[in-house]
Amino acid sequence: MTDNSQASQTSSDDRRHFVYSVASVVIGSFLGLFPLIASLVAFINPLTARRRIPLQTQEESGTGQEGYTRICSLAALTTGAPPQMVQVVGDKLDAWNFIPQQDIGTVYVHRTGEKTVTVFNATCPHLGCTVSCDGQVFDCPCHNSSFNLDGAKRKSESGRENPSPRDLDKLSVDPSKIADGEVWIKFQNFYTGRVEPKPKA
Amino acid sequence: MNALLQRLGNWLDERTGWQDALYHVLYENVPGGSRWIYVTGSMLALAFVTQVITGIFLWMFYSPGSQNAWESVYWIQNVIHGGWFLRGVHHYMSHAMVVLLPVHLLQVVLYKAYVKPREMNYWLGLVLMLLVLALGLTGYLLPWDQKGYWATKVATELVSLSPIAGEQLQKLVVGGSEYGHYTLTRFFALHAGVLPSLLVLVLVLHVTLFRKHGITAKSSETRPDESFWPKQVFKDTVACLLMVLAVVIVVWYKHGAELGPPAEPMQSYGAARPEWYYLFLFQLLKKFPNEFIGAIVVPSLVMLFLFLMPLWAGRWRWAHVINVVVLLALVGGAAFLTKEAITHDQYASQNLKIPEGAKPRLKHFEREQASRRFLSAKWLAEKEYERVRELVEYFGIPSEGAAAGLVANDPEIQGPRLFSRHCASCHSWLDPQGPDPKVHGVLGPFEPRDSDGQLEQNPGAYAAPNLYHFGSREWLGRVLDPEEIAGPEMFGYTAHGEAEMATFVKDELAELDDSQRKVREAIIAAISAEAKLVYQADVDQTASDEGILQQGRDALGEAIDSSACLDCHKFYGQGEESAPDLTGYASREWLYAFIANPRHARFYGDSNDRMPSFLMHIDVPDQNRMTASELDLLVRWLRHDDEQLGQPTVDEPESPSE
Repeated sequence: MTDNSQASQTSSDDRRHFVYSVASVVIGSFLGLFPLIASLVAFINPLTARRRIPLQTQEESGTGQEGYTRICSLAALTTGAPPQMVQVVGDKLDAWNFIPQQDIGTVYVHRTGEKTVTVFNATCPHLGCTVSCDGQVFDCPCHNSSFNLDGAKRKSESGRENPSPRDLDKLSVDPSKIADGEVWIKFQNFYTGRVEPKPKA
Repeated sequence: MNALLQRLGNWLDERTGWQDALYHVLYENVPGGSRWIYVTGSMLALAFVTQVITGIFLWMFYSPGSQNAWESVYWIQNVIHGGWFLRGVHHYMSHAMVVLLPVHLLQVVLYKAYVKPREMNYWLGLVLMLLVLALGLTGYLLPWDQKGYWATKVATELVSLSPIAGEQLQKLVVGGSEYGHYTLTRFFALHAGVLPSLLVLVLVLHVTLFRKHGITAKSSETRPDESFWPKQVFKDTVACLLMVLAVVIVVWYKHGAELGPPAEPMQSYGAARPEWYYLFLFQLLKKFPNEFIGAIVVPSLVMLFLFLMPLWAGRWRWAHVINVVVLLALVGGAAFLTKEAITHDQYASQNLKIPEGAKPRLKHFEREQASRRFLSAKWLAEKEYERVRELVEYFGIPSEGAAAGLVANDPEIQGPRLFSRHCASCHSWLDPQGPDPKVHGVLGPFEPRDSDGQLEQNPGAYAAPNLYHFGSREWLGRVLDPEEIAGPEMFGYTAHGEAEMATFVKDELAELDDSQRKVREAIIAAISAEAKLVYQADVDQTASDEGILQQGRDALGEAIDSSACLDCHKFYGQGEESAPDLTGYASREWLYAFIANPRHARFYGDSNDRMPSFLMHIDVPDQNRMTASELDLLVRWLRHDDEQLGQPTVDEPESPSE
């Protein structure tokens, strides 16, 4: 890579050469990074975005405890009957769309006594499929997780491993509303695949 | 560490030969040394790379589809952090490319870099230019706003004029006979897939041929040859940096690219214009009586000329000079047409004074009227967009999209549209105190002119009052103003201009003493308070507290000079019925009933001057000019009941104390 002309170059030429080179590399790097950085600022939006509730909905005050949603009346549930699948209705935000009163989740409601109700999120804590209930147990159709009616992870009988890391996720029920004959729950989804339930923000 | 890098580099080099390749690129000989004029190619290349990167990231936010496209772009623009900047860079960098294209072309032609043996490369360059312009055209539609929708619609209508299979071609481009989901999916696939891929392909060939033939430069005695690296690279990067900075400044200053109100296929848009770099074609179209010539023949001939330029340049002595002259003329012509298009659109806002003594020509007024229509449509579109922003913040965007879900039911947006459809053939709606009272609002009819452009001496009854803030104190003030009542803004061009009311105002209210003037003000306040206008609620309340309203109501029955209001008008059951009832004047109920049937005895009765009854047939809705919900929207807009979202409208009128 030696060049005949290089031999005759003076040191001042060398210096100028060096300055041009460094400047070109610096500016060139900036030019390459500029569109990338401008893009990445927007790209990471899902990590930084907050829920945008329209003003009208903010103004409407709910009748229940903060964060709680009515899912059904107590009278619709029979004591001791198998857990019942219920759709949770709420305001749905999907990127730019705001769709009020949509199905936003599925829960199992189990009336265990006159004034006692247990509610499970129907999402399997293993990897997020929806479990089904045959009246005896909760079964996940994807990887054979299985739970008792009280939500406890079942010990495997056939020797097959139960892949769920934890019991079904129990949702908190508003006891004062139960006294009024209504089931209000704090609906939450949880991260899957870990031993301790952690609510998704 | 260095040794490791060296070994990794060598390992890669043995398998790819990258060191050799890079050496060839960087140490290519530049005859006559580096020059600033050589930077345009690199600038275009960098701009394209920026477009690819920003475009791919915009893609992650964009959703083609007629109920999602505008909505997703709105989100990018207003909600996503830095989204406006990303979109702005993508938008204005495309402008930078369009500006650089002719510069690059001119440079190539001036330096004779298009002649043998570089014809192929020149042609590839022309193809690249067309691809960039096609990217601009397809990208303009994607936000699916009124502006992009209508401008692109015109462009695709022109496709059907193409001599071979025009109609089929149009259907293929549009994805059917009508604009819709498929238009967006197709334009998006073209914009983000087909055209960029083609561009990369042709660009690779373009650069390969460029390397094969080298830079066209005159070696000179005084300037020694240099290698591309580092001086020319330095000049290229500095030029690119300046371009990026210019784009950033424009993006910052304009707060990103413009977004208009959402597209509505049933709502024509008077300010539809293509992107500025297509304005010369838009203007060219108007120069020819036949669109086929302006949109297809002339541009095709120009392109043909550009393609053929290198073929004769080598054969004939003067051919190169002629090529240069024609090319400069074409660029100059395009610049002239662009400027003309802008001047014509802005004509009315320039306040051109007709020279003293010069006879204004009809053309002047026609141009001014066209410009006023354009500016008014643009103003209304800006207002609409601001309103849509409020609606989105307040209601959120429903799943059927902003146009059907928010715009269709909003009085502030539908009002001006209904007004211009049903009322503007007689009435105007222009803020007399606004910054530009000629265009800020809905235009009414223009003054009739004869074929010389002179105002008709007796234009007759061609226009009715300006209804801006109808029922407000200002508006009623003009009714009771002897200078204004029969003026052009009020009843001057209606039969009412010479009827009893106007005569009364002109004769009896012309010379009032202070106490009489106070009575007139009190009457205006009292009648105006009947309207229960939201934007006047505070002054109404004050006037009520101070007893002025009661004073005004009492004064209705008292003669000012020889006659009193109640000699003709009715007010809460008192007075005569020969003129419109003043009870609840301009209130929501009154206005609705009035527009529904002004010929009713409660209003004008037999003295009605051609105002149609818009909703007279309660039982047979299809015989009405307007539906009940349309009329309701119109009335609410005229009164500005819904200007503040979520504010309760003022209650029904309280009955005055006896």
